[in-house]
Amino acid sequence: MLWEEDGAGADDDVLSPDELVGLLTEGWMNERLSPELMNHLGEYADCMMEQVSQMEENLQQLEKSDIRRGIHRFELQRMQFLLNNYLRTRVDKIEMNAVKVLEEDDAIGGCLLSDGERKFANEYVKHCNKLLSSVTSKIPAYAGEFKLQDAMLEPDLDTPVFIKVKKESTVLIPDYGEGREEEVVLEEDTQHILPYQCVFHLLKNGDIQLI
Amino acid sequence: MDPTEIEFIAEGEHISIIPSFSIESVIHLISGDFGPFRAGFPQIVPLWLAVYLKQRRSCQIIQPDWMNVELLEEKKEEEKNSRYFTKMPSKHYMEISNILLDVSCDDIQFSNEIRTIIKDIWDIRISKLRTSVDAFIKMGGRHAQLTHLTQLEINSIRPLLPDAFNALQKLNKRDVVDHEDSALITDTFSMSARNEPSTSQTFQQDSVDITASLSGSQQSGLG
Repeated sequence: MLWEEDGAGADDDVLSPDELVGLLTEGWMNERLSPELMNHLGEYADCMMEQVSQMEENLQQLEKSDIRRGIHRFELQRMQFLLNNYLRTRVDKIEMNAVKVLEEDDAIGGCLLSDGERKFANEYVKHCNKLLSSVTSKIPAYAGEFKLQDAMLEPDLDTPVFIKVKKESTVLIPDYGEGREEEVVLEEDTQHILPYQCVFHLLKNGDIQLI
Repeated sequence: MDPTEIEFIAEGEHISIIPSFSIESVIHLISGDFGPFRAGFPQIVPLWLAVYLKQRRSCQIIQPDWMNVELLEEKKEEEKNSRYFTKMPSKHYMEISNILLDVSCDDIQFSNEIRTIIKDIWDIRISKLRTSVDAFIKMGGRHAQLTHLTQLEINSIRPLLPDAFNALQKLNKRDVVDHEDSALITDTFSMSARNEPSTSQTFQQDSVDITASLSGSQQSGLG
């Protein structure tokens, strides 16, 4: 529903602030719970930051004794927490496999990383390489050929995830024991545990949500 | 996820309060518009706001409908008698009751009883969950439906289940790879045997079985 608006150039005016909160909360949960890095929600995060700073400005006009001031301040702190946690989770994931993340981002036209994150990933790779070469240049032979890529952690895409279905769909689950596939219908509003790689396409469509 | 993060999500749920102050205008929060507040008149607000106001003694929290002893006793019986998980009155029942019993104990009737029943329900469900997880892993399943489980309950098995699952998958996969590898070798060998000129064919054919069984034993030895 909300995701479709995203495709049409992400018009910020279409989203009401509370929809934005819902969207970011969902994005945050998905990001926290998925093994790999999800596409960035940069516009939404920026939009939220704008909201927060605008609200902070407005707050200056309220008197200190006004109860509304405290209420708004409290909400702002909640939003800050949400944003910070979301961005930090992404940075952690980028650090885990910066090389591959950058490659993937290139391959799908830059919608995996936001501009800031891309800059961060590039710098991170640069610094790591510098560090690595300063060490490996002193080690002879085999160890000297050690690449940064080898030190990166691959996400395990086969790991099971808990999902909640938002739109009915069907998935195939491979059974390694018997080498065949099992078809499972995911009915709306049900919850399942499945291997991540069977459902990641649905997650990217927004048909399901990780819980 | 951290349980406190799930509590954060639960704090977005709506709840009724009776404010003891008045603000005539609507408060435009980022997460929606609330108010106007009139002293003595109930108003719906997010849980975090209710807690905030309660802590400043500016409101009374209205006990949610589902938080009553009879209804919860019924739920508990239902949960006990059912093989499956039953639907809970709120998808964040544990977090909400925890928060409310913590900050607004004086607004909740029969708070001690409610605390006990909720804990009982939680215990029943968690033990049921552990049994099902055990059965699920022993069965070697790849998919299970978990409707009606709440987020906090799912979170409580998260550190355990996926890891056990991954370890099992790894072992299973290695088994399959062994089989496939030996099958593949047999295939390529018999293919090449067919392409070879007829003179060496019998020889090739003989060597196939040996190599296949050899590679099989080697692989299992390695594994």
